[in-house]
Amino acid sequence: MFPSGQTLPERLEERGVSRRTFVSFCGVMAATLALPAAYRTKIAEALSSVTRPVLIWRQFQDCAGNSESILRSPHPEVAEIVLETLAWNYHELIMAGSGEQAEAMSTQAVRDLKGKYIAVIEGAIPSGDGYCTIGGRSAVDIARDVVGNAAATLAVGACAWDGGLVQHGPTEGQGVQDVVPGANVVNLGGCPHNSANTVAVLVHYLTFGQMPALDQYNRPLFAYGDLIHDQCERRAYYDAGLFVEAWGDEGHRKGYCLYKMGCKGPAATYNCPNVRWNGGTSWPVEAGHNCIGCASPEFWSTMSPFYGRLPNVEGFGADTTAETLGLAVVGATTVAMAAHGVGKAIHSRTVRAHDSSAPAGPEPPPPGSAPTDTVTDSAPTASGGEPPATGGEPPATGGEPPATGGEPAP
Amino acid sequence: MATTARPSRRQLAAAARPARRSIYVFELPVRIVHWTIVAALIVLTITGFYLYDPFTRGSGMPGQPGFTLAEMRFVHETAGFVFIAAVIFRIYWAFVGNQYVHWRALLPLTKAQRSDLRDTTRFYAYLRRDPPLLNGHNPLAGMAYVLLYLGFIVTIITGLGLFAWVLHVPPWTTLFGWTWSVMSVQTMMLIHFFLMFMYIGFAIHHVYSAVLYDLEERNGELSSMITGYKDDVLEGETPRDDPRRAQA
Repeated sequence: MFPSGQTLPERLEERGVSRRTFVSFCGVMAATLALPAAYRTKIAEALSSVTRPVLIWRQFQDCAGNSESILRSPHPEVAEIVLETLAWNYHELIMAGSGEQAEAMSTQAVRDLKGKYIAVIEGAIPSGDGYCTIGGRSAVDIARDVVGNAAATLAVGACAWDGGLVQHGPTEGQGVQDVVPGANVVNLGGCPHNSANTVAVLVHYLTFGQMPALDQYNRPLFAYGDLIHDQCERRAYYDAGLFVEAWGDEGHRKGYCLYKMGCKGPAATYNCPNVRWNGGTSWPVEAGHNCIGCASPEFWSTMSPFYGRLPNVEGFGADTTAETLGLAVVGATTVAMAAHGVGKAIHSRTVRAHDSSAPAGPEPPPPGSAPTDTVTDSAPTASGGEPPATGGEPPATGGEPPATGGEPAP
Repeated sequence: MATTARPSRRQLAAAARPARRSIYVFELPVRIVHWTIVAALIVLTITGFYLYDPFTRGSGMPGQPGFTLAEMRFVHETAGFVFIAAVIFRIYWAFVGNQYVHWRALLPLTKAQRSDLRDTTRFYAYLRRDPPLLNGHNPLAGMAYVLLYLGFIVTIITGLGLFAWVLHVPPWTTLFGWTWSVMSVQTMMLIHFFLMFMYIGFAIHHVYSAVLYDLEERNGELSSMITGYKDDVLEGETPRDDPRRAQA
């Protein structure tokens, strides 16, 4: 595909990217993919000899954050390498063309390179009626066309994975795998995706001709296989029991663990602490903010509230926590038992007093007085079910319903 | 109220007898399991609540970094496996144990059990002075234990799911990784945490009812979970037209 027969290193040289930088990039990719260092040269060879596959980047209901993330690659060389290795034929945010001509690049690739190009989808695909049309075609239609005919698809960001933030909105945003079931999709969750992982997946595909090992959500295991908690530099503070108790307190200034501030690191997997952002400068927890688990499935729902330890309990108002509800259960039980005990003592006393005023034995009770339970007991009640006549109520406890009015089970 | 409170007919009958016959209700394995679960639940509650909200901080002193939370988690996990073993054993014993602890005694399967269930409910609802005469669990308690054990199973599954999540290595991921697909890890923590309050509530009720029965029946209800023996409340009573009762 190189028009002038140039190799990738030659083209990079023209653009001011040295051979050293290129090999260094390959080393970073090998490290991100958790491959041995020896794979650096293998990756360099593979990328140099690859025939520049076409890449179609489509955006639907998105904030362009994932495009920004990949364009903000810390080292311009990396973007150069990626852009030179792949023919980036369509990307709304960065392409110069527009209108029918730009759209033709996408449709042409789908028509001419069926099963040979790579698709990248950013943003949720609105499944609600009438939302998001591009060039007169609905997002669902375009997604089925582009993804369905691609050799492989990368769904970048939380929205393209499972609908993300707009999943429950009026547009009923859906992920790529929901709209195009059965497509060869790799989900690169995160809000936004970490471009190091996305580039690494592309490099893996170009080097080995297949996608890296995936987990049950079709996310690459090299990036989503380990707990954030286990890679966190603040982990020692967690184990030691030293926590930030309030924003800006002494513990926060000392870099203690953010667990009590609602950090989702223990519940989330991602290589965020290792790959980091902005050229490996930092990541949220290092910057002093708790992890919100943005690379987890449906994280807007499952990881909320972002500043609370556990999800709130629905159906009891907006901010009812399990702790509040649990303590209420325990408190109610204690009160109920205490009240029942007092009631039982009074009941026992009144029945006994009634017994002593009433003649014992088989004589009928005085008129106007219902038979007591003690009397009832003296009758052979064994056969299950006292007759209604004897199942009456001692007057002392008055007002209680007859036999059927049982209290809830303990 | 002029006279002193008159005891019930049954209490009079009991007083007429010097001592009631003791019968062996709770076999040794049942008692061991009972107290193992009590101890494990106390440890699990304290350490588990600490894992939810680390209420006391590590020392943080130079040279004494402490390992507070990690130790709490270790104790929690160890106690959890003891608890699992006890629950599994008790479920096994519900099939091989005596008539009082057998699973059939825990559910209102027979007509007599349903009658006792109704009478026990009436007893708790102040509609009846004395609980039905039973040496083993009353059917209402039996059903509560069945519910309790269903809760235990949910706690154990969520606990093992979280344990597998924490370790994130086989064989635990292979065995319990499926739980992460059923619900999010946060939801799993929520359920695991919330059931703790249910057990605290149950424990309060359980102790209250044991004391209540001990006072009502004077049959050694409380000490039976240590000694295994209860006074036979059915002694001298006309046996019901029920084989279960006749044999007791």
